[in-house]
Amino acid sequence: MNKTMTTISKLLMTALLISIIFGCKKDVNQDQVVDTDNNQNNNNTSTVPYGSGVFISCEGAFTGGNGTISFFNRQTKSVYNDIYAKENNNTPLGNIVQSITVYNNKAYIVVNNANKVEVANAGTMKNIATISGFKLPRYFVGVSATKAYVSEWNGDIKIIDLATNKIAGKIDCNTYPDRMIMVGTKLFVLNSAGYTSGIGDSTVSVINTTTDKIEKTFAVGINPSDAVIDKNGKLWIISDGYTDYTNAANNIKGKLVRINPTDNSVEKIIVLNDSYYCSRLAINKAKDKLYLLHAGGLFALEITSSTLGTTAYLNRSINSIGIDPIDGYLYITDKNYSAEGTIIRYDLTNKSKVDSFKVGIIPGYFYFN
Amino acid sequence: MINNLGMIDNNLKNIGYNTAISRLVCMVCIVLSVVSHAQPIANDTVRQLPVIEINARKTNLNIIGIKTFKVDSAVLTNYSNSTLSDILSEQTPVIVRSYSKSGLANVMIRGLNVIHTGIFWNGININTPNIGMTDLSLVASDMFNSMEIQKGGAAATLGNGIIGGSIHLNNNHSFTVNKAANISFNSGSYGLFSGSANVTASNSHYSSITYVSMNTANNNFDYIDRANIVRSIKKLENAASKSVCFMNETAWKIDNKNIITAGFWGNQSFKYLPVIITMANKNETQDDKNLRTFIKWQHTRSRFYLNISTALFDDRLYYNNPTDRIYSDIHTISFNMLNSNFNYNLNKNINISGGTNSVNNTAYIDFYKARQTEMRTDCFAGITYNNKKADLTIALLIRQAFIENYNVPFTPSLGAELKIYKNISAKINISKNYRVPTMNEKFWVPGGNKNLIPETSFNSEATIVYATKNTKNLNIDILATIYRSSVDNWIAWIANENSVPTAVNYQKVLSRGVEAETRMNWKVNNNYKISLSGGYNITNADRINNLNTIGNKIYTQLMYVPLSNSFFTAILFYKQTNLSVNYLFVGRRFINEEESKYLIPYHITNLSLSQTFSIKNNSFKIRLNINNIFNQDYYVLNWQPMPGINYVIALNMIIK
Repeated sequence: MNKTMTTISKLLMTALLISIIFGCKKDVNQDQVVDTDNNQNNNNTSTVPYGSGVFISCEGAFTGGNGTISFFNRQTKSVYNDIYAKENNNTPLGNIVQSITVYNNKAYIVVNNANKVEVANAGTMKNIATISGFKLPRYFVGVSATKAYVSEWNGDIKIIDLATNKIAGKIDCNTYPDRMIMVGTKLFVLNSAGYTSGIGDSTVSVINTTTDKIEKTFAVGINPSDAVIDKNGKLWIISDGYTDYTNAANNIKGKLVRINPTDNSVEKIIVLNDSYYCSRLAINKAKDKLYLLHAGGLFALEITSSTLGTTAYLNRSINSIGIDPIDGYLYITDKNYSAEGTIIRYDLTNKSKVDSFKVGIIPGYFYFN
Repeated sequence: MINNLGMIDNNLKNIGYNTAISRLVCMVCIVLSVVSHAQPIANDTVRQLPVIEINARKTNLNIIGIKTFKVDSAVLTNYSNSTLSDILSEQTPVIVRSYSKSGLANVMIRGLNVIHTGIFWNGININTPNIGMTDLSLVASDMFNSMEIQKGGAAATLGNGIIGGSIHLNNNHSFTVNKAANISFNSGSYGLFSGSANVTASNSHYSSITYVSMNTANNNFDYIDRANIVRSIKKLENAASKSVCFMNETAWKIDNKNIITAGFWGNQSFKYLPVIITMANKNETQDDKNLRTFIKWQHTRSRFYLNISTALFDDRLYYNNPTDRIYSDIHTISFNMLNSNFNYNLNKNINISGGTNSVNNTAYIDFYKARQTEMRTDCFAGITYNNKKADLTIALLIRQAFIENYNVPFTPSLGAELKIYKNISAKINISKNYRVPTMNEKFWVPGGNKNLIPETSFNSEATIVYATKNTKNLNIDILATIYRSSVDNWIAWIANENSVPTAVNYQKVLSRGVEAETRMNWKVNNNYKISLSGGYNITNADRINNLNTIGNKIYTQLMYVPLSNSFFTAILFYKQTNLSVNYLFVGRRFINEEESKYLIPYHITNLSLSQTFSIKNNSFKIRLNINNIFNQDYYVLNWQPMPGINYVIALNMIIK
């Protein structure tokens, strides 16, 4: 027995010795991921002004943790990818980078599956604060110098205190609050399909931003997904409809509706050609022509029209769209979900391709600053 | 530091710590009762548990021209109460893709997809039909006394999906008088506690192997939180796991010509799923229940061998994501109605073989919207020419699968093995292989695609083997292989025109590489013995083109396929003391298609020290494993931290 105990003691002593010798402390500053693109650009990071240009949020793969922010400088045509990590000690934004909004010279980056909003200086991209406590946040809208809203797929609009960068309250909405648009002091919240492949919601909640109360909820098409305001101050909302992936005969077509934001009344309904997932809507610089990403491609529609034709303006695979209100160019993104995304710019005056450039994985949202 | 039972924290209690202890106590009682019950079978000449012959050179897999090898029994004994993913990642030249310490783990061989690796139990593929994979983190490493690995395309021999390689798990039965129990308890870092018992009882007509185990772990190791600008050390959350397992295989040797074997393998596992560090914790859990059973009849005559078996596999997985309110019940049943194969020696040089395989798969999966079934039937035949004088073997095998609504390609394989010079021989194999779409790829809503065509591949490989012969004290094997695998119509999930991820025949992949392996056993004298094994792989697995690059060849390395990897294990035996050092290197792995981002290489060194004590006819072994002794910080998958230095102390009792 003594021999046994001696052996056990020897084993444990050996283990302890080895631990002391080899069990060195982990280096917290060592990176596991090397980005050769960023390494090449590291020499001039402090000289890059990001503020005026186009911010593009790139979602990243669903479980990849590789969501990023890209920046396009209109004047120099320079593209800067993964700028947040580059300016912040190679720190990833996380999964999924849903949107970026610049408000009061600060960039608010909503990271959906990391349940946070990163606040950064819009000119330098240096992190200022992290707002946490969300559940599947989607988009940010600034309301005043001290207040903003963030939509969440758990059914809330979170009220943000911009002075402290903390959640100050919430407003209960319908199922999956998603895109938001301000008209005067009203906030229109689109209650969307969320992550369902069925019917998520069909309503729009109208929030009085002075009282933080919902003053009305009204129905539009099934799964509303995007909205713009035209030159007449009218609100246009596009909805996906419903897709039955086992039987197309059960599909319910998407809709484009025009709302009078003054009295929240529905003034016009245009039934679209089929259903679609994640429709997008943009308006040209003059705010008199709509561009719809829906079943069959990208369609153009005068705001005076009452029907949508079957001929697409662009019939190609597109993931998301945006129109730069400064120069009027159309931005479209491709649909490669595993490799770097491509942005193609079109001149809408003559439908010609201007240029294209590579950004992060799954570019999904543009903020034209 | 070494955790013990008293240090298991509240997290483990949440998953039934008390239940685990009671089960362990019950398990020990059951084992002891089985041992005592087995007494009448044995006589006085009981002997120790049958162990695999060290450095067994010939595997049961008789695939001509293909590289196969057994995992050394001395290595297996250092992995009691571990998982198959641990032993494969540390001791074999394959790449294990594991999601953290306890998460889903699969094997990649020769740079191809994890779905191209078959996992076989008693010769039957146990990959579930919905995903075409088996989670190796759910398979205990010590429940089989034989583990063999086959690398390269072998669909003509082994059937659907064997484009990369396969893992074969077996229990070899010996019809000799024997009764023994191997009971082991492990305790280790991060709340690890496990126990297992392996009981064998046999005589000249019966052989029974019974295995029971339980395993609990918190897996709450420290990691560096790189998702925050201010780096800090945190503990991994939501990572605890527990599992119980029971397996019995009983063989009845009716006479010298006929053996009937029946087996049952039940496994239940519950685990929390840690998210990657760039994601918020979602409190996800996964509950697996796997029931597998088979019965087979082996008939042997002087020139004829027949093997007929049938098997039923019932796999169920409950996924629960309370944060996002996503729940899923995944239930598949695979009925291997008929597996048959025969061999007949026409004369001393020519052997013919053939067989059939019929599988009926049924899936009850929420996302399929309805019950789905599929029927797969294969027929295969082969002819082997063997000239012992010339040390030459040539084998031709053909297989044709019949699957409703699919045109599965005719699959031939031609292999040869020949002696070149004294101790040097060569293996050559060329084959066509295939993989039909999984049920998920066909039926998932949305995105499943019934119009997919099977993946096809052309594989070729050549191996030079140097092996010492008939040496009493020193055996050395050195193998060098070059291979080429070209896979067409590779299936991937890509967004369709409506932005819905859809299974499509996406790309063409060409994987080429060089492998070098060596194994050595050296009996220095009666007290000392040294066992060395190692391997080095260079893998160039390029996507050649895909649907987005039609007409352009891109040649970029597949994500997560290391450009090079190696392992090395040295075991020193001194009397009843055993010291083992294991080193693992995994090179740069790209994490995007553009090859601009990659994970840095990692080097892991593990140490194992054991001492055996013999008391009368019984033996007791105490073993200490120190894993990752240099406390290397590393990622197998991006943002999935892995544990630093950690310890396991084990007690093995072999009771005869």
